[in-house]
This record gives sequence, structure tokens and C-alpha cells, in this order.
Amino acid sequence: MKLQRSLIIFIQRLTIIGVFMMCCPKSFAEAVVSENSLKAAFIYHFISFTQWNDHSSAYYVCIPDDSALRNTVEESFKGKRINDRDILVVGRSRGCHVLVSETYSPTAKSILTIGRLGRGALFEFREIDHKIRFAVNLEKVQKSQLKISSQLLKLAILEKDS
Amino acid sequence: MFRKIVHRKDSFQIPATGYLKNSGFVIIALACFFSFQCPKAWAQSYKDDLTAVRLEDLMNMQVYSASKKPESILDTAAAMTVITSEDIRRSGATSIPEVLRMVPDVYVQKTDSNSWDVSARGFTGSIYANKLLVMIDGRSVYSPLYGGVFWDVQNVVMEDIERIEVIRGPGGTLWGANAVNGVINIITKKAKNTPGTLISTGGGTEEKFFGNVRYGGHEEKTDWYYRGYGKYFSRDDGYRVDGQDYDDWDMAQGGFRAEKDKLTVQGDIYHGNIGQRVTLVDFALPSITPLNEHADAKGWNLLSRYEDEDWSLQGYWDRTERNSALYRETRDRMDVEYKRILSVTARQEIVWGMGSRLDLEDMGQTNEVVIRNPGTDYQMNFFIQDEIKAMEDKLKFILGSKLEYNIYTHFEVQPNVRALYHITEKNQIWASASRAVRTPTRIQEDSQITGISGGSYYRIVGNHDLSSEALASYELGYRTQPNKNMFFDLTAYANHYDDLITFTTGNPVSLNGISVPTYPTVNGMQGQVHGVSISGDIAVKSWWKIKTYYSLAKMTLHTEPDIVNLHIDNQLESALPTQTAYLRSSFTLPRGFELDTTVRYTDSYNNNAVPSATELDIVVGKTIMDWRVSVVGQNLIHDHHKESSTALATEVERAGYVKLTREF
Repeated sequence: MKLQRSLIIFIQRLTIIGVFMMCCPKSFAEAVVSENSLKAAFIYHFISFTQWNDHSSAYYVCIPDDSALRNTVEESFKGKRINDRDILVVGRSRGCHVLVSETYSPTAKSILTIGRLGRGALFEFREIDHKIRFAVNLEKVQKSQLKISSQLLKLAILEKDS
Repeated sequence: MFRKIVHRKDSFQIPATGYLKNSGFVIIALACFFSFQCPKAWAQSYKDDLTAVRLEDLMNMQVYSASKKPESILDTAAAMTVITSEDIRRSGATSIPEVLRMVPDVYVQKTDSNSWDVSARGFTGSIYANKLLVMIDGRSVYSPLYGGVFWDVQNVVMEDIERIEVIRGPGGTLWGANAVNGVINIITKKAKNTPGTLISTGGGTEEKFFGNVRYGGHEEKTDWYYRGYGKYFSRDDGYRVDGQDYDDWDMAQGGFRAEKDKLTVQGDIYHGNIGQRVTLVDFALPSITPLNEHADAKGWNLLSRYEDEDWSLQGYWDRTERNSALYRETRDRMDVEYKRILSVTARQEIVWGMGSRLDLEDMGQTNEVVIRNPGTDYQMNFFIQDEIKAMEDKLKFILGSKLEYNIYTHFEVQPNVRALYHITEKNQIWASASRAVRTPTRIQEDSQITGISGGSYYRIVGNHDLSSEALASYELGYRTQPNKNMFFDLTAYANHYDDLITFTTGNPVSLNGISVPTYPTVNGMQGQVHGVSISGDIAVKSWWKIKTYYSLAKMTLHTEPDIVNLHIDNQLESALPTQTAYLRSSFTLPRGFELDTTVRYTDSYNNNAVPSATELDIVVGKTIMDWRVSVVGQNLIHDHHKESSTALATEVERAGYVKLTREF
């Protein structure tokens, strides 16, 4: 009983400390973010670390309309430019620089596909320990017409075709 | 479980327990108060746009998922709840029934420290919690002996559970037999997803000690992914006003899972000592001898499944064994199932399948419990379901039926029709009408159970002329995601039961010259259960999630006028708590700090023999030097509270434990 009581008091104190902690410094709130906002930011960086072999005035980021990511990416990219090019988020699957789809990854060599490596995508998001990581199929990247900075690749989980 | 049957006629009253002065409510109130009182600026500091953050910093940010719903829920024309591995981890629950408390319309009553009665949509408590199908990775753990689940031997490593899918209501045609009021599908993680070593250990007041070890790997040459685990726990007994201690228990379990491409092989083996009190009947005099004992429960199972894109084949062997002074049971279950999906057109899909199950039973006979003609129990089933989509896939129709053969009632037909309409992408409405049956149990058919109540003998006898209990169920549901941070689910049901199995009075038998009244089982009750539940998932802030539900249910039963009414109808009606409510607040804070607070409320039941109760669980988690440290407080409001009023039940005590987990 004594152990029980002291344990309860301990839990109560921890709870109170927890409650106070949450009401304090700003930096606390910032480190926990929404998964989609984080993915959007990753996609933004993927674009900035990649060179396409084309002269389009905009980057086309294709995300199907029914994807939960679509709205967040649109909001995050609104009014932003990379290398003096606009970023346009569209629902189609042709003429894309980036295509985000869990189910469909076309084999075109000039598209940075984000989806499942097992289904032919170049990049894949993985949630590990509540953090977002990304895996890259290095062989496919090397065969593609995309030039992806080693700065980006060194942060990736590198995988080969199985 | 079994012992409840023998003592169901006893009644035992314990005065209601008072509220603890220093209750956890104060803390919740404080937590809520402070959360709302925090400065506005702080709340707004969280931004959606993270594109300006360096890539290296992005990789260190923790994510939350705003009411993340698997696609399956939004496309199901049934009341479905999915419990994720995160829900399980953060609940601090150490056994599956405790986890199920977070599901609306599901009633979990802990009878003593090692037995739980779990039911959905009524028929709560004791031997009547018999209309639920429970499966672990496709293996049915429903006991055909008494129609419930021996929860004490269902000890999956909690960290290995990928998700638990709970369907309230008839499981439709695809699920196995006896999916009348609900289906619980426990799905463990693939071996591919559990690489490396996991150790977790700890202990506390009720959880005296526990330890889990798991190791997963990949055999490169043959491409097999595998994992093996071992676990042990020892739990304390519950509280009794008379000071008796008998329901402590311990369990050791091990197992493996291996996958190669589309093939999965898995198995478990366990052995436990289940503390219980039984009352042995003296046949020379009408007297009883109580005995505190540890029942010996052991078993193993081996399952193999091949899953291709449009077909699957599964087979398993499940051995369960239980030895007590009151009864003994050894059961070998062999089950094979085949399922095939045919895409007729882009809009139409047919799923059909067939299965066959053989139970080989060996029942030891005791004075108190006799099972006549044990031997084999056999069943076969065939099902077909047609799913048609229309109106640009916005409307989905499901039409199906199952045909089952069993040794007691022979052929049973269980059709259902369902429809789901996506009003918009974020709003769905669904409705269903279905028929489901529960076949009689071995006890209801073949038992002879002798007990003593109020100084005289009585005997319950099985009946070979029973029909299945039948349910006609009508459901209506609405799901909505008003914005990306909210999800609400509203479900209403009207269930009509017929041929419910109850007891009546039979011809007395003579025992040592004493005339003993008998109570044979009979299909003698009918009635309705109506209910409604609402549940919500709300992400108040990126770091604060709330899960909540409220369930309301009412049961009305009638005993057929042509049999003697033993008022089991009234007993069952009063066993269902009218209202239950649940609220869990989850804080996910920086540096791996988590705080979960759960408040549960249950109305009084069993004619107030179990008073209404509010209970509180608090889980605090923090990562310290690669170790995940969790401090868990359970049932904090009362010193002890009742969840069952049967004579041998023990009360649930306040508990606390500390758990250390490490993965590498």
C-alpha cells in the first residue's frame, strides 16, 4: 500500500510538471509537427536539390486530388519559387517534375517519383520512431535523367532493387 | 468462466466504495484549465509551413497524425473501429481486453484478475457474453465449449500488435461463425516490420513483474524474414471484502513469425497458472468445500497462410488445455480456409470462400461438471459476397450470404445487405440489414452441472433439441471529417433476437435419495437491443489529440409464455450498463515526452450490484538514454471497484507500474 501511494504521488507530480511544461517556452510547440507539413517541406527540399534536364518556367508537382497531402503541399508552396521557377501543384499525372502517389509510379526517367520503392518509385517516405525519413532507390536514380545532389542523398536510406 | 456457471445463482453484495479524496480528477481539471489558459501567442507559434527549415532539422522533428484513418474504415459499410499500435502503447494496457475499453459499444467487465467478459451491443457479463468472434491473425479463439473467449490465454506481445479491428454488429458474411454482435480481429506486425531486438520489462503493484524479449531478422540467402519472442508475467490477485486471495496468476509464452514472399508461418506456445476459487460439491451431504487452486492452462498453435493478390489459403492447428479440480478440457482445433476475389468488371467484385473446422475434444469428467458425448465438433462454411459500385464509385452495394453446416443445428443461412454512400469525400453514410446466428455451445447442448445454492442441490442440464439463437440487425451510420483535425462517427442499431437460449425448470432427479431440481437449457427468450454511439477523434493542437466516445443502449427481453420464467430476461436486461463514456487526452511533447490521460465512465448495472463508476488511467512516457520509460497509473480514482457481482468475482484495484523498453 505504501508503495502504491508513493507511486500515485509520483505520477501526480509528473503530471503537474508536464502540464506546466506545456504552458511555457515556445520552442516546445514547434518540434512536433503535422506529418503532411513535414512531407511538404521535404518535397520542397527534394526539388531544390534536383536538376531536371528541361527549360520549363515552373516546376510541376503532381499529387492526385484525393491525396491527403495535396492541400498541405499547395498551402506550403503558395507563392514560393525555387531557382527562379514557380512551383505549381496539379492533380494530373503527365508533364510532372515530381509525382507523389502511393500506388502509381510511371517509369519515365525525368520524373522524381515519390511513393513506394517496391512499386517503382525513386523516393519513399518512411515514418520511423515518429520521425520522417526518406528512402531512395539509388540504381534507379543513377539510371534516370535527374541530377540529384549528393547532399540530399547522404541523408537518405539508400536501397537497391531487390 | 466455467466457475461462473456453477455459481450464477448465488448473489453477493458488497457495499459501494467511496470516492478517493485526493482524486485524479483534480489533475485533469488542472490540465484542461492550464491548456486553455496558455497565452495565445504560444498556441499560434506552430506553423504549417516548414519549407524554410533546414533538411537536417526536418529529420529531427516528431510527427503527429491528425485523426489518421486507414482507408478501410472510410470505405466500410459497418461500424468499425481500428485500434492502432500507438493507441495500445499509449494506453498503458497490458492485456487485450483492457485495450478494448477504448471501443464504443464494447463492454469489458473484469471479473477477477485473470478473467474478463467482453461483449458488444449487450449480452454483457458471465456466460451470456457469448456472441462475439475474436481472431488473432485469422485464428479463431472463440471457445465452442461456452461461447466466450478464455482471455487469460490470449497474450500477444503488446508491442507486436499492428492493429486491432473491431466490428460492432454482425460481421457480415466474410467472418467466421458466431460473429453475431461483433468481430475482433487482432493483427500482429509482419516479421519484416519488426527487425532488431526489443526488450521490455517492469513491474508494479498489480503487474508484479513482466518481461518481453523479441528478436527479428532477415535471412539473406533464402529471403526469409523472421522474429521470435518470449514473454513472462506475474499478476497480483484482486480485492475481496472477505480478504480471500486466490486469483493471482502467471504466464510464460513464446512464439515466432516468419515470412517469405507471400507465405507466412507463425506459432505460439504458452503455459500459465491461473489462480481461482472453486467450490466442490459434496454428494453425501448438501455441502460445499471451497478450494483455492491454480488451474493449469497451456497450449500451442501453428498457422500457415499463403496470400496471393486474388486468393489466399490458410490453415492452422490450435491446441488448448485446461486442468482444474472442477473440470478438464483438451481441445485440438484444425481449421482450413480458402478465399478468392474475382473482379467481374471495374465496378463489381465478387469474394467467395469456404472453410472447414474440426475440433477434437477430450473432457475430463468431475462430480460437478459432466460433458456428455465429447468427441468431435465439426463445421463447414461457404460464403459469397458481391460488391457493386455505382455513381462514379460514390455508392457501394454489398450483398452476401454465408451457408454454414454445424453438428448441432445443421444448416444455417446468414445473409446481409449493406450500402455505403459517399455524400462528399469527407462524409459518408451507410446502412445495413443482416441476419446472424449463434450456434448452441457444448455446455448448452451436452452439459450436466451440479451445484449447491442456499443449502440445496440444483442441476443445469444441456438440451439436444436447441436451435441457434438468431439475430436480425438493422444499422445506420454516419462518418464525417469536418476538417483535417476531426473525425466523428455516429452509429445506431436495432437488434431483434429470437430463440435466445435460457433456462427453464425440468423434472427433478434423485441424488442419494434427495430430489434435485433441474434447469434445462431451452430456446425461450426473445427481445430487442437498441443503441446509439458517437465517437470522435480530435487533434486540438499538433501535439494534443483527444479520443472520445459515448454509448447508449437499452435491452428489452421477454421469456416465452410457454416455459417457466426464471427471470433470466430481467437479469440480462439489468446486466447492460445504459451509458458508457470514454475520453483520452494524448499529449505528444518534445524530447519524447508523452502524457496520456484516460477517463472512463460506466453506468451501474446488475440492479445496482455494480455501482456506476468513473475511472482514471494516467500514462507518462519519456525517452531516457535510449530507454523508453513509462510510468502507468491505472484505475486511480478508487482503492478498488467492482466490475462483476458474481459470487467469486474480485474487485479491480488501483494499480501502478513502471515499464522500461528498449529497441536496438
